[in-house]
Amino acid sequence: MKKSWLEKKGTGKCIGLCRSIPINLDEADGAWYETAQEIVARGGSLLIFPEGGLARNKKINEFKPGAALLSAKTGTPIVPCAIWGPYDAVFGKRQKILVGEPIESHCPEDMRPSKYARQLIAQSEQAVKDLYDQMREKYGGCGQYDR
Amino acid sequence: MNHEEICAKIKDMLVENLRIPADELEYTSELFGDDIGLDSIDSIEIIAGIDNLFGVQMTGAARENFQTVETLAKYVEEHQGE
Repeated sequence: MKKSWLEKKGTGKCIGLCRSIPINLDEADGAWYETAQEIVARGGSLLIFPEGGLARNKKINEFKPGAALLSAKTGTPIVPCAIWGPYDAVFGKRQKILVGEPIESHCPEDMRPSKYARQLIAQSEQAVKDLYDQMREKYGGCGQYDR
Repeated sequence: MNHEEICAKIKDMLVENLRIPADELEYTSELFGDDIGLDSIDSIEIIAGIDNLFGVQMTGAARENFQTVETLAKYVEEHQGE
């Protein structure tokens, strides 16, 4: 979760209760990575929104490669997901979530993990776009994202 | 720990975590330039590695501190114990 969201009065505390990891997107931030490493080492899962922010122009923003670095380093698979429908709090409509096939991660011995992370994130981005295509086909639309 | 020891630890960390060939990495090699060619994502691992080794936080540190093993070591020396 973008760090500034957790620093907001009122809502920041609520967001903090959701066990989110703060990340500073304005500068090189290693703290989130260390926390995420510990969670994965304990067998936990992470839910990552790799665009790094809200998409405001109905297009999927480019996925940030840092989001795949942990997978590249640890071999933890990436499970692509697509969420359909705008979120309406409290009495909102139900959202639909389409979960794709896991993307396995096996960084070659002679490849730098950061380079492999870029490959993984490109693969993940394509997989998510494909999921939105499936939703578009099934539901006649996919909420906020166009192709 | 003296400066040389800090440099050696940092080099070992970079070789292991970033898979930089040890024989190509000098203490003055440009990490993000033509010498080694790291990219911005690698700085995340450097920050995590420095924190694990020395307990020194580099999040938000100026870019010039990441340029070489020497500059990283100097940053560690200046900020250890904070």
